[in-house]
Amino acid sequence: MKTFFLIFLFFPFFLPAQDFSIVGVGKATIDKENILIKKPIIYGLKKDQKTQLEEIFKIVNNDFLFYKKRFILKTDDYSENWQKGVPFSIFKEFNLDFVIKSDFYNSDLNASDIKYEIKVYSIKNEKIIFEKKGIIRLENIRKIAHNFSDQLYSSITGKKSIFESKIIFVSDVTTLGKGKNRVVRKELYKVDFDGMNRKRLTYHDGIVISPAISPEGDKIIYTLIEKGRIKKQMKLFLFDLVNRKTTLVSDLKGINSGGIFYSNGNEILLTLSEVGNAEIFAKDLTTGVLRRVTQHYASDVDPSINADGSLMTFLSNRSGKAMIYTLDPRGLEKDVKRISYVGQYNATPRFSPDGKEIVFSSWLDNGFDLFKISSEGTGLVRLTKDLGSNESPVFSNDGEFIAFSSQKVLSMYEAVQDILIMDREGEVLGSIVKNFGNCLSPRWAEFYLGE
Amino acid sequence: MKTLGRKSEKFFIPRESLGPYTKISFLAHFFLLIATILFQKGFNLLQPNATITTVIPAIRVDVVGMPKMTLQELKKLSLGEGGSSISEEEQVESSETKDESDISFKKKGRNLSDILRSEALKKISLKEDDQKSGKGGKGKIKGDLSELVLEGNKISKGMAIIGDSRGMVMGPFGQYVSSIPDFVRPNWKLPATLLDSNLNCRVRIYLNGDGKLEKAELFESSGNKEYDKRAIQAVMNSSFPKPSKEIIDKVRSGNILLGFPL
Repeated sequence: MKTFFLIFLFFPFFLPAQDFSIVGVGKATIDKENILIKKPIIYGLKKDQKTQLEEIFKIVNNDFLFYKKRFILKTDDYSENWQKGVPFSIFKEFNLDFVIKSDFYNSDLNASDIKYEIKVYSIKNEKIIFEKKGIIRLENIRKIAHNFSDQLYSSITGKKSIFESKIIFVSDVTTLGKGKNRVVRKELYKVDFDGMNRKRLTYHDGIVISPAISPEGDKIIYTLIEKGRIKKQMKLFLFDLVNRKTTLVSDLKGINSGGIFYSNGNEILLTLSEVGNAEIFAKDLTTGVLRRVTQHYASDVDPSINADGSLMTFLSNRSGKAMIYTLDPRGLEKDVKRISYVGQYNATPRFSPDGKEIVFSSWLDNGFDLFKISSEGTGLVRLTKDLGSNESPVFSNDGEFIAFSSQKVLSMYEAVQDILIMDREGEVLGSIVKNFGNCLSPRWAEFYLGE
Repeated sequence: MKTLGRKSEKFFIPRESLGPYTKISFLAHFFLLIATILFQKGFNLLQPNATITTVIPAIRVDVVGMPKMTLQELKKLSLGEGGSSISEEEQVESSETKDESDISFKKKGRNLSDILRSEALKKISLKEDDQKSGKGGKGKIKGDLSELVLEGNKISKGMAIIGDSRGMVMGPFGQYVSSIPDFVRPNWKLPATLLDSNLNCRVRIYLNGDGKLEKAELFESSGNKEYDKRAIQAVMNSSFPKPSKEIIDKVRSGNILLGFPL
């Protein structure tokens, strides 16, 4: 009896041992989601209002096309199947994942106000995942459309989109004269993420370079090159987008350039050469106190910082040629690490929003090309080739896209430089700014409080 | 029945009266056993001596400083070499890319750098004699190395090995296991919301002698139902190679675990 008990009690431990071999399948590929943006249902509105609403939904559709690697936009409306509620079974049959339905009708208050109701249905779960009612006035239909797109995108993905973001950039389109009489002018401009709504921001009639926008979208810093008594001076200015005032931030002897904002918006990193050679400093915009971040006999320029301020990437020629480095900007020359070894020299390193990747340009045989590398210096990939000379890359606010300046040589004396965008894997989507002089230094702004 | 002397007399219990204690003891042990089994099952300890061997297929790669091919080119290349079919959507995408020719760099003529670039992209064909002897020409980089230098980061057999070099001396079962990801990966798809989620799950597979999937069960959950479901779905949608006779027993008994992604 006792033996029986013992065998019974320890039975599981006597099971034969099993050996497993485990193998990793690897990273999954994206399974695109099928979305139907149903044509808006309009009740009793004027003809021009109907036209505007149709235009809004054309823009919404176009917005979603930017994320073509994530979504497939379906065009069939299945209108005939909506009579008895949402035809989930039919949608499932056609592999739809999400359906967006909108209704617009007259407001009782004002003829120019329109009531709306938008719903996003998850077909798989057979439920509404987003619903919004309100009143709109069709004054700025592009703004309304991008706002709708962003809300719809966020309800589906849980993430912020690029649809309300702006791109600021420098263009020399105001340059005067030709040949010996040429007077170069570079000013600051902004466009919506899709290249529309272009607007000039600065009127210095001078040369503006290296802009950066604050995280809240209320301030822009940039460098203005002015003619001094003996030589040119590079001064750093701050442009307040809300009250449209420009103030001088730094005009120390030598270079005052390459300013970028910390995520708190009150502190900046900038390049100064007052100490002899170009070095990177942190500056508190409220107190004006400077703190040195780099200290080397070589030049250190062009900083970019990650969101929590724990890692800075910059350009330095301490190896003999301009290469990309990282360091901890909370100290002086803290944890300096070289991360790029490619090209004859490199330029404009910029962090992705999550701080995991750095995109930069590298001069090869006869032009710049774009590369991407992890912030630890691993996983180098090339993004452009045979597409002219590409430089000044910058990640979008959601990290899914990269805007960059691309130069196309037309003849020995003529070249054009446009702003293009590509997805984060290097597939070019198209030009955002085209035929507008030489466009440089695009900067992607999630928020923009200017007009 | 013997007694144990006077002192122990008070502890003596007649056999006839043991009945209820035996039952209680049996039930207590039985519940203990059940509790032990449930506890072990809960912690995947049913086979306490089970060992898990990680199979990491080794890949030969070229080590170069400058990637000559873009990420897009590498993707297209790997698609072509893998022989996987390009879906309808992907075909649409490629046609859209053609439409964007207005933004591509138009060459106005071949300058020296263009010629050098095109020459660099050409495959180097060694002379027949050189191929036979395995030697390069005088003053040239030898044999395979010359191609390696000129082809940059193009996917090829390569010189260095990343991954586990044990794969090179793997037995038939190890080799079979390491071949499986290539069959499952094309079906391993996630919606964008889960793609960067840092989740991991493991699926145990049972195959028959023909390599047909008999059963796929979740061995270790990711904690996300949708993710686990997609992983199992990827296995269910895959076809597997036929195992050799000597490894059929191992393959049948579910010794293979697939990690999604690791």
